[in-house]
Amino acid sequence: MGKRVLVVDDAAFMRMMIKDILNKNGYEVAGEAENGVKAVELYKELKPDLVTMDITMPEKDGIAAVKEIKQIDSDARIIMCSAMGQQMMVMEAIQAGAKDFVVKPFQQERVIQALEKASK
Amino acid sequence: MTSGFDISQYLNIFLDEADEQIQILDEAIVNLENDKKNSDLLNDIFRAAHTLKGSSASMGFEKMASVTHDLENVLDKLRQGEVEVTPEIIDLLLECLDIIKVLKEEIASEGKEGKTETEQLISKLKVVLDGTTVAKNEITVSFDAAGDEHIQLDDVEKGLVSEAYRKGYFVWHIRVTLDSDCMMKGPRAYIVFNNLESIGEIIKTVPSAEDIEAEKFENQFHLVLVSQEDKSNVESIIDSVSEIESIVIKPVSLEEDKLEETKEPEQKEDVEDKEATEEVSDDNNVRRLKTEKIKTSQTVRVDVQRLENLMNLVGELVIDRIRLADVGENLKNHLGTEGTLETLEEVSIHIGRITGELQEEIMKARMFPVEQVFNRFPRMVRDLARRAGKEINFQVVGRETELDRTVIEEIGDPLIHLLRNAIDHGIESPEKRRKLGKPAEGLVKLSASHQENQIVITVEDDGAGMDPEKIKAKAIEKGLINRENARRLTPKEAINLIFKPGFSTAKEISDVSGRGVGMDIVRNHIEKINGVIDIHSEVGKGTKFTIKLPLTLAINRSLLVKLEESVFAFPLSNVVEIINVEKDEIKHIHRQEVVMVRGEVLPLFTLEELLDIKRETPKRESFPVVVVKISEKPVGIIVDQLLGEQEIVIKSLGDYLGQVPGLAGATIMGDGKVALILDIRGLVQHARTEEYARIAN
Amino acid sequence: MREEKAVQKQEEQLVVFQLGSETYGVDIAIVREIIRMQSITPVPRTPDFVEGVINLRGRVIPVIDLHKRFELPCGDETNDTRIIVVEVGEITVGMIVDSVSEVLRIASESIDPPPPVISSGVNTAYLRGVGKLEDRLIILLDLQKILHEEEHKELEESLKQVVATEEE
Repeated sequence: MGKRVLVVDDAAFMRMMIKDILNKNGYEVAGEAENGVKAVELYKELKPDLVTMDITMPEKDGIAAVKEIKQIDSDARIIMCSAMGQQMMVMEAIQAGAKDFVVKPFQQERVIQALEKASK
Repeated sequence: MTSGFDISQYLNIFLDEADEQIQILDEAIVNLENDKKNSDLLNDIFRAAHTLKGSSASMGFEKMASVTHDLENVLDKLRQGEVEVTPEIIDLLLECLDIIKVLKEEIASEGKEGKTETEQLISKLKVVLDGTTVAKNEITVSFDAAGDEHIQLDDVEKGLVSEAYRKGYFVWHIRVTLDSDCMMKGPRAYIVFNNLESIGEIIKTVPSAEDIEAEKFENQFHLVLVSQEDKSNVESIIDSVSEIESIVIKPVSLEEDKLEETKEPEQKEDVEDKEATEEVSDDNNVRRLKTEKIKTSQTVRVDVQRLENLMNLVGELVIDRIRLADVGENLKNHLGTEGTLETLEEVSIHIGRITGELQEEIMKARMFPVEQVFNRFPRMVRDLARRAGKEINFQVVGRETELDRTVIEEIGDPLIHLLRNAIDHGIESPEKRRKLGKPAEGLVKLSASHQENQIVITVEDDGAGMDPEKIKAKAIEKGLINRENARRLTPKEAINLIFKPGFSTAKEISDVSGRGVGMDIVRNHIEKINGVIDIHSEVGKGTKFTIKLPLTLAINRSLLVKLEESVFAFPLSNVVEIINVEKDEIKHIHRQEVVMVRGEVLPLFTLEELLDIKRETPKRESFPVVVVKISEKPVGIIVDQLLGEQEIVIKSLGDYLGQVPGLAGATIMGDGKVALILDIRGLVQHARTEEYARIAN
Repeated sequence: MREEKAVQKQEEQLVVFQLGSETYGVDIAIVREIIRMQSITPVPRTPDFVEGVINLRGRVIPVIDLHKRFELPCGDETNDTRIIVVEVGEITVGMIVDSVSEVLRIASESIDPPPPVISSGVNTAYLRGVGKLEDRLIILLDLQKILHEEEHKELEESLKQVVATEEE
């Protein structure tokens, strides 16, 4: 049973990469969003099982989006996608309720491992 | 690895990122040569290598991954202090950098790695790695005869542990090993702490929480957890975190642990950390180590908005306390003094004090001195100056100015950019300056201060200044504005054109200035923290950027004094000392009263005369004098009474009163009353003029 | 928030207070709150009518004594003495008054323009008008003028200086 994932990142090629990884590993891409505002909207609409969330985005950043989504659904499973050097923001995101994080550039196994652990 | 992945589409991104990291390595290694013990630089180099390793590995570029992997390991040893930075090491690092550049070029031109040999370099790196000495770090985890690890606890920790056992809790010694290629060890550990904190208390970590956050550990850390959960539950909680290689959990037993003190780890390199380690134990025996930099299990991350809300609530409490006092007064008038009413009064006073303290604590929770950000700059400026062939006199004023933590995090980048601009484009070359009749050394000054309800940070230089005409021309050329509108601009408006997006392109930004950051991004950063940036520039004279950050929370440590019934605050930064002067020690030089202090003449003034307050100066045998200093000569200010030192929050006197000479603002004390903050500079200037008048006669 | 011009509304809502023997009123829109007298910290080098500053929920607010401002005789402080905190533009100021009687509505048509001379001695330049009620008159203050006059004065001063130096 393929888990449904909402992919959030402001860079199109990044979303492409993640979707590739998801498709190749039995996950279903429920939707994609390019900023925090869309992310919250789509979460409400699609009710995915998991979310991959970029940290720095225009309109509303990943941390704010995590907070909102957790308010809508306290059980939301969100995995942050961060760049090197964003340690503090990652920790903020965890505090806000994100379950885990993966670091760019992505390694397939890491992403899958994070998704699997978050699904439990 | 990343098999089954078509990486070609990501090649450009990889190359861009690689360029960035190579740039960082370039600068940092060069700087390291002149500052071998700089831990920040070592960390920068380490991170750049680490990032390169990660991305080249993802892309399948094995040679680069291999080189950067070993480079990273060497750097780790360097920053842990296990290997010293010697000229030979620097050479090796530069060699690595050169090879990395070559490898990158091959990838750029061919889309894959080429024929460059990396064997020799790698064996050199391995030599360094193998020849390491044992870490000088304190080992707080020891091995007993059976090869089992035990964590060393100090007396307080042992107390906590036995208390926990008494209450029927488990106490677990947990060793977590992260995957060796885990990219962000700090946050990874943080998640472990975070998850565990939901089922218990972490009373100790090895290394310290600070070191874990700074990622000063290989990939293993220990912690002691007090919890009601059994071993398997604890294990599954940790296991739900990714990138964990292994988890070892053992109960902590007090008998076997040695009674050794845990010494402070050696402070290596140049430590710019704040010390202030306080230990507080409360009744529930959960001890929290407070340093200003610990961020993981021993601090709580609080939403800044929450602090604001708390502040407002406390403000209301203060008002109510006053009303409560009123009620007390009223009742007293009607019913006279009676036991209950006295209690009411006591309670109300107590509440007043507590709310005052609450206010202070909440405000303090958010503030840090700006020197955290400023301290990196002198070095950076020196090196940028050398690279650009300029001579720079760099001055920094106001390091102690405190800023809200969010502001501190954001302000660094814009300032770096402004400083780079000043050095690259602002200050002229020494020859040019000499021809212009300027001193060969250019002045670049960075200053921070609070003025009224704002933090003002300025970056100024005495360089070439900006030419409004040239800027207009460039803006027209870039299509940012048409000729019509350009003509109608005032010089100030013209200069502000540099903030338009697209004004500077990557091509024009010199290598030293860094890439891709235009003034528009600088302005964005500043506006993000609700600030404004303004430029003042004169061709040939120089440029000054003024950043104003609206901040109602500006704190200063001050000396409170009393003058009759009023309380005044002397900002401590200008106070030299406090002395007690006897009446007969006073001498006169013409009409100026002075006193001799350690052989030097100290002119004396009463606070009331400096503030034009009319009152009868009381006849006293002795009185306290606050000695203040602005430039060279100190001045002694006579007050009625000294009240003590305190951290106060600076508030503006408001627009209506405007700038009152001699005053810098006001503050609210614990009892709710207002105290006035003195503008020492203003007072001293006033005093000086008076002094000259009296002595010159 | 600016004071509403009387002409634009059918009626006005006023906070009415006493100063000496006269009754005054200000537009309720600019009144932030009314508080009892509290400890005022005097501020040196300020005009006489500036009593000092107070702590209003964490903000430092200046307080002026309207008696002194209008050069009226000052009474003693009583239990009824109040501080009316007003906000006019960027400026927030507290004004000490003898007592605050009420908030009332008055029809715009009952408001006359300020007379050339008024017995209480308040300079007619500070008035917006006079409200007529059956049993009394309410003198409406133009706080904009009252609070900002200082600025104008200073500006004039500095202008004079500039002109003087240029003529040298």
